[in-house]
Amino acid sequence: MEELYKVGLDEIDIKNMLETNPEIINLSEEELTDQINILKTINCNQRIIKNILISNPFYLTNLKEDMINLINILKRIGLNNLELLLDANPNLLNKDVYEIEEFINNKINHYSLEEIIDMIDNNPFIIDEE
Amino acid sequence: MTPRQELIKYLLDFGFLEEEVVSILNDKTIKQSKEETILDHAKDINAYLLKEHCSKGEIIKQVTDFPKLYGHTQENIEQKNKDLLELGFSKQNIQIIRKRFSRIYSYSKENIKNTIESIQKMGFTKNQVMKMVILYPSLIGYKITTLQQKKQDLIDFGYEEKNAVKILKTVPIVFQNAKETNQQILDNFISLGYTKEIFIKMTKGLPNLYEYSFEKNIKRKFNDLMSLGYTKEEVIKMTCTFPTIYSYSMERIKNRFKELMDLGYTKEEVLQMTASLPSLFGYNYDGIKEKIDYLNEIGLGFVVTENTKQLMQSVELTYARYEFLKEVKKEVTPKNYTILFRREISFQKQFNITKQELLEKYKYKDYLEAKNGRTL
Repeated sequence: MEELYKVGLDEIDIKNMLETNPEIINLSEEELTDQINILKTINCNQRIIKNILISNPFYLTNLKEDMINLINILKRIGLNNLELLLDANPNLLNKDVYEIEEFINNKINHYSLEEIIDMIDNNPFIIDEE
Repeated sequence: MTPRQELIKYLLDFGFLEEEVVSILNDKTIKQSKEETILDHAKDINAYLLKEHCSKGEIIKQVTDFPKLYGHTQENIEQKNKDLLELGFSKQNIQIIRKRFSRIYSYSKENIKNTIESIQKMGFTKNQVMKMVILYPSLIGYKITTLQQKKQDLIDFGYEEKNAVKILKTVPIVFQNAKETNQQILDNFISLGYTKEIFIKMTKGLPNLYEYSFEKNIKRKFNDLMSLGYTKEEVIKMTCTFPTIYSYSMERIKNRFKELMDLGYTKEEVLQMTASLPSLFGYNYDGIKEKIDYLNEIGLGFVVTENTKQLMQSVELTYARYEFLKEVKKEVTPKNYTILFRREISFQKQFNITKQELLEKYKYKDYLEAKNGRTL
């Protein structure tokens, strides 16, 4: 759990996270570091990392490869400043790639890709609301 | 002392309860072996597992779940652990698997490998299957046709195949659910006022809803939220768009409610704010406070209660836009404040500057440092 303290989480935060996702206890320090490092690669600062982990403790046990695939598709479709998007809706990190593709495919006949990206950017919960 | 008495004494001294010892001794495989042999195995295996950082309590649970463990030699168990390592599990993974399913030692390497490969063919990646096995190692004991049927049950229930895959990879314990169990879970949600469509949507967002106790978690939280002052419709709407609420403890939810009230908002305001933006229950408190403080500072504090959803926008962007508008002499007033929260395309079109450029030019971090410097 050392890694979690390093990003500024305190005991109450960690207790809350474990209540939501008890599987965190089974992660090694290396696994925790790996997950946190993924967030650093998309420019998440400590405040954003802390917010993502507190809001979405499931992120820590999501598969590294799934997270990398998800982030890659979000970048590929043109979402910039992913760190701000994920700060607003940390649960986006629990989406599968197909869910992002599905959202775009359902809209692409009525809007340009740029407009769809703008919708997600403006309301990061839009995928859950529809 | 007879060998049987010696074995019983050893097990009791180790910490097993009398009924556990009886159950171990009644196991078919154990009965077929000589008591001296079982005693030797028990001593060796216990010493080995203790060395592998298993607690006595964990060993007792593992042996009680699977008495045949003492039918194996220590070498045999070590070999099985090596097999699991070769299959790609880490030492830590093996500890977890053993804790959850000591019967894993009754399966051959080939058997486990074949099951993993067969599950992969159902639409999962190898790493996903490995994770599923760690979360729910009993999977290894299922017939592949049963697993396929369970996936089909979810599809028949109303999910698309990809949704079923997502649910099963996130909460593999759903593999143990009979059709009737899934139907019962849905019926429970319906009894609270949800529709099947909403339930499917929520479980796609938070598959863990399948593993939460209805009485102790879902129903209690639903009622507790209503006791806080939300209407039934509001609870349904909030949990539909943000099902993660069900993964937070009620203590956490109540604390957040209180924290928001401590910031000076009335109960009614907090109810309205959180109903409009339920993720307020999830966000880090410092981040929320920072956004509220900044809005207050620029005279837009009313946005928090009147247009709470705007709290979704990062304070970095709000700051950058505000500073930019100040620079181009465009005053932001309570009447035109939505300009700060406009869609990127629209903002860019009107002011010919991108979000990226704004964030680079007007750094909230610099503002904070200057502000903190002033405070110090």
